[in-house]
Amino acid sequence: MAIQDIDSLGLDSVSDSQKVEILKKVNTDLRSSLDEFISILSKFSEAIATKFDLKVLLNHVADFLNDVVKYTAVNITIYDMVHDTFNSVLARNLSSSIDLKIKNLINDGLAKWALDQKRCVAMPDMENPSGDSTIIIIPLITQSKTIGAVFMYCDKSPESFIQQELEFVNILGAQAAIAIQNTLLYREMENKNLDLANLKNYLNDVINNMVTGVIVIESDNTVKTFNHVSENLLALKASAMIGHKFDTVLPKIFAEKIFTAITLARNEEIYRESGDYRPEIEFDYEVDGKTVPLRVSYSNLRDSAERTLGTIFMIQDMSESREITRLKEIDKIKSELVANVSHELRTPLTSIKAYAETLLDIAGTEDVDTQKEFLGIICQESERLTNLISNLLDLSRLESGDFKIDRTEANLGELIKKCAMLLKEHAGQKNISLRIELPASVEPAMVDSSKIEQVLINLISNAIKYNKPDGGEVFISLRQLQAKFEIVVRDTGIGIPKDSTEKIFEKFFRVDSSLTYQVSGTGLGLAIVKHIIDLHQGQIFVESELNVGTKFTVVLPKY
Amino acid sequence: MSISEQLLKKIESLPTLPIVVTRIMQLVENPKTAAVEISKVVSLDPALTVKILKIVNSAYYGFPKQITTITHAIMILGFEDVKNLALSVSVFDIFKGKAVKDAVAFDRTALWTHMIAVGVCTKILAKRLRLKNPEEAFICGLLHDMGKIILDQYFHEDFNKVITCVQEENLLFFNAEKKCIEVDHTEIGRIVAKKWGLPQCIVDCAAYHHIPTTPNENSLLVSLVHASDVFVRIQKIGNGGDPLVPQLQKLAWDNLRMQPTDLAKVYEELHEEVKKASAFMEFTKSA
Repeated sequence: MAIQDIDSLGLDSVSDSQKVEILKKVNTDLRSSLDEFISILSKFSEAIATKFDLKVLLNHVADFLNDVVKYTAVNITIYDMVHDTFNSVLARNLSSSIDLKIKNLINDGLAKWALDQKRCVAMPDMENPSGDSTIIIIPLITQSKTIGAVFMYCDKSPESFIQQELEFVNILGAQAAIAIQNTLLYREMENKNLDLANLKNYLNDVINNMVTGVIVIESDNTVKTFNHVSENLLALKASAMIGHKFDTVLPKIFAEKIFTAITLARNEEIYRESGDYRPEIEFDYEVDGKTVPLRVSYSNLRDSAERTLGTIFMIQDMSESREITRLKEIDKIKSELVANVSHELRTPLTSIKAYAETLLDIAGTEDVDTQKEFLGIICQESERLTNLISNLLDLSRLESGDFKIDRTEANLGELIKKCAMLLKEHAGQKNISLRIELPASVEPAMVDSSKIEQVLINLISNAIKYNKPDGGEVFISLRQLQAKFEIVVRDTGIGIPKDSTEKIFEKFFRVDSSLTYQVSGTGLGLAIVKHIIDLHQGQIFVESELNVGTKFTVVLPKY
Repeated sequence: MSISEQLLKKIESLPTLPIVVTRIMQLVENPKTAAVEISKVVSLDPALTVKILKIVNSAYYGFPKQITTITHAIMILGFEDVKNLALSVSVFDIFKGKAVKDAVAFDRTALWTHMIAVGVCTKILAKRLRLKNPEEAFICGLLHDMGKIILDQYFHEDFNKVITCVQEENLLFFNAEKKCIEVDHTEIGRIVAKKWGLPQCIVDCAAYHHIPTTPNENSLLVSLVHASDVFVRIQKIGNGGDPLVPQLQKLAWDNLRMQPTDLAKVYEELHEEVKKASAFMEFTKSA
């Protein structure tokens, strides 16, 4: 319809036939437009629906936009909110001059304006004097997010665009935005999955390379983690553990400990309040006939909402640390011994030196008695020195395994009497009486007499040494049982604390190092005693009560 | 002859919408219309051209560059927006100017401000709901009270009666109309909008913005206009004929899908956008 003089032309002045014509045209155009639209949209949706590859998707978008509006160049960009930039992800025929024009539009804020209006904007290319080119900015926006923008350069004047084209471009833009967002989300999800997998591998590596055994048991008692060290420590296979209930796959002793620990851990608060909560257990574990001391520490695993997910167990082999503790103790004992032995060696030497010097002074005088007395003392002290040194020699033989016994037929009763005789004087000096009880007739025993004598002297002199300061008694007895002899040496002395009764047979051990200088001794005696008895396939026991007395029982087999 | 019959008869004699605007409306209906066709029609009316370019380059659109031709305006704003713009400008043109001095004090500029603010508010709410065409929402809000202007300009005595009634009895304009003059601005707005062949959504919003529960094709837009009317009155922007605030209908509120806490943000935006729309006020002034 031609537009005539507008001032005189009211709507009423359009004839009915003209109205019908206009309506007809609108109807036909609407229908064909709808057909075109549906056809393009359905093809487009089909093409992009299953594309999760960004490049493929963008190429489809570029193709379809070209179907709707023929362009000479296109640039699809993703908006970077942090840097406020539009980064190109796909460009076709983008000459540097067109790229510059697009950059200028972005700098002028037109791309942002289009995003804000949620609608495409077509700008005439002002620099083209013919006015026959247009730049179209299509915002890529979803309901919730700005994705980016498409810039199209068309060799077509702005006037020649029809409404439908711009409308189609808008709708394709919206569809493309959703598809691109899906692809980006898909990619993000893939990356996250990859990150998760990497993190899992990393954690597995960490857990497996720990020097501590790690076992995780979930709330439903399923074993979730079982690392290499746990496998080695417990001689179990992780594959046989993971995914199973712990009480069905772990060895009974271990499962019981775990069960107790889990119960404690799950009621942590209650136990913690009662002050009775130590999330640690120690026990010996038998593996391949070997006993391994284990320390198991545990604690609850919680999620971010503080819900208990399970319990984590850290298992340590304590053998090494026990060995270290023992070595440290021995080291301490050794240094004490050095101090002790040098003191013990010096005491007799000092006396010997002093008496010898005095003897030199009075040598040649008539005072023979004094000289004799002094010489006696020198002799006695030398004896003491000899004993000490032979003890030390015994010790070194013990250490080197060069300590052998030589069995001959001997009468144990006689041996006991002989030793008692030897120590009688020493006992008398300390006001201690010796009492002996022997059977009427004593069977012969096959022993190394000198070694057994050493044992008896050691035990009896200990009994004298550690007896009550005055008026104590040492009781020595021999009993002949069916297949063995039993010698008992009992004193009425200070006794031995319970926790020390086992250690007294260790070399260098002395019950209380504070006694060192009150009562002389090297701490070697009982170690040598035990060794001698062992070599005789015998046994030695000790029973003791503090401030009441100590009883040593030596059992020797008959031959 | 009853008052309403008289009114209807008088409406028949109202000026019609300019042929340019009706032609633009026809053209935009057809998806195959090229930008050049619209720009040719608009260019036939130089005054309209100037006014459209003025609005297009105003803060209301905030376009970063100068738009110098109608073709550019169409390409940039889209066909629909240019149509709505032409429509608003033309309706303003018809009603502007006939300033009448009389005993009853009524600030007509305040009524225009009220209408522009309701238009702006409807657009804000439409954008929040992500409706496809926020400019359509704007014009629906803008023209919702066109009946009041017609009443003022063509049935001035009746208008004065209503204003007096509003002032003396402290009534809503709508209720005062019912009490004093039998018809009301919603009915007048509906009849005129229909007669001019304005889009159905404008007709419905003019007709039902006081009773949004009335079944109609554009009930969501009607709800938005109804709510905007209430919000603008709460914010005391302009004057809708009375200083009262009608009750917000529950249906309309539900349609907004908003939390009461969102209102502060809407109000803030409303004041800001009303300032940007000040270019429209210029068209209401007498030449």
